[in-house]
Amino acid sequence: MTMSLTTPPTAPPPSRAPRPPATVPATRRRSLRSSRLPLALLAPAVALVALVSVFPILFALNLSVHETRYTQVGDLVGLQHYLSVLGTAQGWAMIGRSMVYVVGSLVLALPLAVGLAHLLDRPARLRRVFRVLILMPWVISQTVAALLWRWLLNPDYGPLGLGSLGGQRVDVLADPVLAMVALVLVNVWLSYPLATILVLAALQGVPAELHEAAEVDGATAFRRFRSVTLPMIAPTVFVVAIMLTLLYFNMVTLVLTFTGGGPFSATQLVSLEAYQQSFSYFNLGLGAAYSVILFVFNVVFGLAYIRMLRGDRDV
Amino acid sequence: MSETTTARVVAPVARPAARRVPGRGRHKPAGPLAYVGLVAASAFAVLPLLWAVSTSLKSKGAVLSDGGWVPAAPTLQNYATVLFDSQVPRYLLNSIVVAGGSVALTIVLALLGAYATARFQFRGRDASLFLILMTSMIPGIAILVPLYFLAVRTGLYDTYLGMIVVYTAWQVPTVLWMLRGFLQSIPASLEEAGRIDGAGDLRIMVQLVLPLAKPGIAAASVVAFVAVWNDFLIASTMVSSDHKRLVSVGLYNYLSQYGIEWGQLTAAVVVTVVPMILLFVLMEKRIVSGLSAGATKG
Amino acid sequence: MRTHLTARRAAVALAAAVALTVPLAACGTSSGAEPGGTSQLELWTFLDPASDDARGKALKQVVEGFNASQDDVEVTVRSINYAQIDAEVIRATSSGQGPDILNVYSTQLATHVDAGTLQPLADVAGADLDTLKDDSIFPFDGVTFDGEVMSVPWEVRAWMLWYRQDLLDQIGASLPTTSAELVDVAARLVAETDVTTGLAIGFSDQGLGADFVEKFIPFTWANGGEVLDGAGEPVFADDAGVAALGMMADLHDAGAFGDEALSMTADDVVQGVAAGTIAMAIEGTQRVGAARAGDGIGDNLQVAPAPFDASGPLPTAVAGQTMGIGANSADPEGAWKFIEYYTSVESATAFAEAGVLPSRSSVYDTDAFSALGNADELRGWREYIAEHGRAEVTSTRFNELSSALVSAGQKAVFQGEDPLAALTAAASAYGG
Repeated sequence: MTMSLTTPPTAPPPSRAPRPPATVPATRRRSLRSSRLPLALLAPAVALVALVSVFPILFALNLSVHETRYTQVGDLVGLQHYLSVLGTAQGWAMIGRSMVYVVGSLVLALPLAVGLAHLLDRPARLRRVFRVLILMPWVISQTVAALLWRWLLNPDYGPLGLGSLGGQRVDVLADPVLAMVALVLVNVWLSYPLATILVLAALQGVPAELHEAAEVDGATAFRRFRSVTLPMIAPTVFVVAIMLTLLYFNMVTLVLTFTGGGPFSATQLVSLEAYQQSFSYFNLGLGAAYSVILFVFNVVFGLAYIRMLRGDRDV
Repeated sequence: MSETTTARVVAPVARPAARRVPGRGRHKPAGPLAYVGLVAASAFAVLPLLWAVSTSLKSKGAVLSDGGWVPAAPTLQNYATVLFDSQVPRYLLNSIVVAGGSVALTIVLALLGAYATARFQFRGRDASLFLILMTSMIPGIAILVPLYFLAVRTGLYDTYLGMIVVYTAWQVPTVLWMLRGFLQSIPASLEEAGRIDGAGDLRIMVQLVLPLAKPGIAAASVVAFVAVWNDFLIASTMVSSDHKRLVSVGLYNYLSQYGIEWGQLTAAVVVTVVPMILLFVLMEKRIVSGLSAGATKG
Repeated sequence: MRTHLTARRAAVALAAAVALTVPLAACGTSSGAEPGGTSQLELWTFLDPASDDARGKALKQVVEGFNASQDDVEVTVRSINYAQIDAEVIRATSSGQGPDILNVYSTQLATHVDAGTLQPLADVAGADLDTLKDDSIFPFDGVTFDGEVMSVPWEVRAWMLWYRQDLLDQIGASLPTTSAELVDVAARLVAETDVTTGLAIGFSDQGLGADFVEKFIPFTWANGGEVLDGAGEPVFADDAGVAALGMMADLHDAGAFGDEALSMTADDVVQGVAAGTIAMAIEGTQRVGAARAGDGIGDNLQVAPAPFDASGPLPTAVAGQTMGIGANSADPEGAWKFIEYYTSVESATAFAEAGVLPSRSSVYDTDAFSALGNADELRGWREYIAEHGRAEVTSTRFNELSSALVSAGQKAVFQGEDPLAALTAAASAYGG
C-alpha cells in the first residue's frame, strides 16, 4: 500500500462497524461564549445558502401558481399548472421517463463505481495510469459529452462503425428504447467517476484487520467483499446514491444536447420540459411548476434514502 | 429530523479512525481478470476523448471526409487558431478565476460551518443543518430565473462576483458535509490540550484544526472545482459579456447557426481539458486519501 | 417544535435576504446618451466579431467602419450564442436593461415584439424605411406588426434542393423537376450508390424540430394550405397539411430516407451531405458555403429550387437576420444611424463577401458583388426568392409550434399514425 508514511492511528479500530465517531463529549460545552461562537461560525454559510437558494425557490413557488406572460407575473391560477402536468397522461408519462432514466442510470452507475473502485484499490501495475484514465470523464462537461457521443454513435460516419450490427442497421438515436439506453449510458459515462472516487476513498478507510480476519476464516473473495467490505462502505454508497439521484433528476444540458427529448418524446424528461417551458417557450409559470415537481421528487427520494439508511443502521 | 440521522447520512467521509498499516496490503495483487476489467473501463472512459483528439488534428475539410482514428494529414492549425486567434484562453482564465474564487469562498464558509457543527452542540444547529441539506435538493433549473432577477437587482449580474456567490451557495452544502465528516474523524484530544493551555476557540481552530483538516480541504476543493468548471446552466444565465464568459459556455461559440466547427471545437475541448487532467494527475492521490478521512490524519 | 424552528429560521433568513437586496437595488440601463458627448450603444448579436469566422470578421469591419465614420455614436458588440440570445434579451429587457441595437432572427421576431424588446422604427427612420423596403427581397410584411415596421432585414436565406452532382452522374439521373421524380431519384440513389440517405429531412426533436418545420411549411404552402391563419390560429390540420406529410411519407416509403432521419438535425443533414452519406437535402442557403468547404465536396454540391410539379418549383419560406432598436435604448436616433450604416449597400457587400446572401436587391448589381466567384449562383437564388419566396410563418410561440409539428411528423411518417389525427393533436397542443 502506498498509502502514507504517517503515524499510526491514534484511535483503535472500532469493534463494530459502521459507526460514525461520537463527538467527544468534552467539546459539548454550553457556556455562553461557545454557544454564540458556533452560531457566528455557521451563520455566513446559512445566510448565503438562504439568499441564493431559499429565496429563489419561494419565488419559483409563487411563479408556479400564477399566470405568466414572458417575465410578467399575472393572475393567480392556483394549481392549474400542476394539474396540467399531474392531471394528464402525458405528464405522468414524462414523470415515468424521468424515473426510468434515474433508476436506470443508478442501477448501472452505482455497481460500476463500486466495482471500479474495488479494482482501482488493489495493487496493480500502472495503477496510477488506470486511475487517471478511468476517472477522466469527470472533467468533461455535459455539452461536450453529448456532442462527442452523438458523433461516435452515428451509424453512417460515426467512428465506432455501429452502422450495422449483425447485418441489421442500427440507428441508436432513432429508436425510442435504444435512445433512452444510449442516454443512460452517456449519463453513466459522465457520472461514474466522482462516484468511483468517493467509494474508493471509503474503501481505503476499511481496516485491514477486518479483511485479514475474514481471510483467516476462509471466506471467498466475493463473500469477503459482501460481508466485510460492503457493510463498511454502505454509508458512503448511500450518500453517493443520493448525490447521483439528485444529479440525474435535475439533469438538463446532457438531454438537451444529446437527444433533445426525442425520438417520439421517448427521452422527454421532467427536467428538460422544465427547461424548455422556461427558456424556449417563455412559459415561466408552467416551467416553475415542473421544477417544483422535480424538487418534490428530489426531497421524496432523498428522505427515502435517509430512512433506508437509518433503518439499516438501527438493525 | 434528528441530528444524528443527518450527520450519519450526509457525511460521506465520516469513517472510523482506522487505517491501513503501511506495508500490509489487504488485497492480493490484481489478477489477469482484473486487468481485463481495468483496460475495458479505461477504453470506455477515454474513447470519446481520443476521438476528440483525433478530430482536433484534422483540417476543416478533412473533419468529415477523413473518418479514421489516426488523421491522414495531421495539422496543428486548429490548436493555433484556438490558442492564438480566439477567446478560449480568456475563457480559461475566467473559469480559473471564478472556479478558484468559488472554491476559496466555499471552503471558508463551509469550514467555519463544519467546525461549528462538528464540535459544538447548540440551539438551532439541527435546523440549520437540515436547511442546508434541503437546499442541495433544490433543482438548479428551478432557481435560475429568480436568481437572474436577484442578480440584476443587486448589481451582481454579469460580474465574476455574481457567479462566485451563486457557485459558492451551490457548493457549500456538499463541502460542508464533507468537511464536517472529516473534522469528526479528527480526535478532539488535541483541541482539549490546546484549551487546557488556554488557547481561545478561534486560535484552536486556526492553529490546531486547520492544519489537520488540510487533506480534507484539498479533496473537497477539487470536487467543488470540477463541479463549477463543468457547469453550463448557471454560467450561461449569470453572465453575457464575452470577456467574462466561462469555458463551458465559450465552447458554444463553435456551435453556430452555420454549422459546427468540429476541428476548432475539439481542439478547444482538448485545450480546456488538459489543465484539468494535469490537476487531476497531480492531485489524484490526495483527492482519494483526503476524502478517505480517517486514513490520512497524522 | 423542530419544524417550527426551521420555518422561523427560514423566515429570518429570508428577511435578511430582502434587507440585503433592497438597498442594493440599482437598475441602471446599459447605456445612455450623455449630453454633448459620444453616445455609447450596445449591439447584441449572434455573430462573434472576435472569431475567425468570415461573418464575424465582416461584422467587426462594419462596426469599426461605423465608429470611425462619425463622432456621435460608438457601438460595442455583445456576442451571444444564437440558441440563447432570445431568452437573454427578453430577460434583460424586462429588468430594464438589454441592448440598444438588437439582431433578431425572423422566426423569433413575433416573440420579441410580443415581449416588448423592440421599439417601432418609423419615428426615427422616417422615409428611409420606404427606400429599404422597396429595395428588399425579404418581404417586409415579415417584419411588420400591427402596421409598424419593427426591424430591418439584412440577410436572407431560402430553402433549396441540395444535391451531389457526382452522385447523380453516377446513376445517370438528371435533376428532378417534379416531386414524383424527386422521390424516384432519391430512392435510386439509395439503391444504386453507397449513400444511406437519398434525400434527408431531419426529424430530430433537437433544435425544437426546426429542420422538419422548414420543410413542412413550404410543403403545406405548395399544396394550397396555410400553417396559421390571419389571427394566428393553427389551420395546418387540413388536406394541405396531410398532403405535406404525405409527400414526406412517400419519400420514406420509397426508401429515400430511413429511420436515421429521426435523429437528424439540420447540422447532421449538412454533415451527412459533406461526408457523402446523404445525396440530397432541402436545406438553407446560408449553410452552402460551409458545406462546400469539406474536402472533395466543392462543386459536387449543387443547389437548385426544390421541385414540386410541372407548373413550378416548391415555394420557399424566406427567413433571415434582422436588426432593430432595443426597447430600453436611450438613444434610438443613434441606434438608427447604426442600422442605416449596417444595412447600407457597402456593408451588405462586405457581408456578401463573407457568404451572407444580401437582402437588398441592389447589392447584387454592384461591381464588388459581380467580382464574387459565385455571383451568378447567388443571383439565381435571388430570382428564386423574388418569384417563389414567402415571408416565414410568424408566431409569438413559434418554438412551441415547431416542437408540436415535429412530434406530429414523427408519428405520421415513421409510426404510420393517421396524418390528420397527428396534425389535429399538434394543433390542439399548440392552440391549448
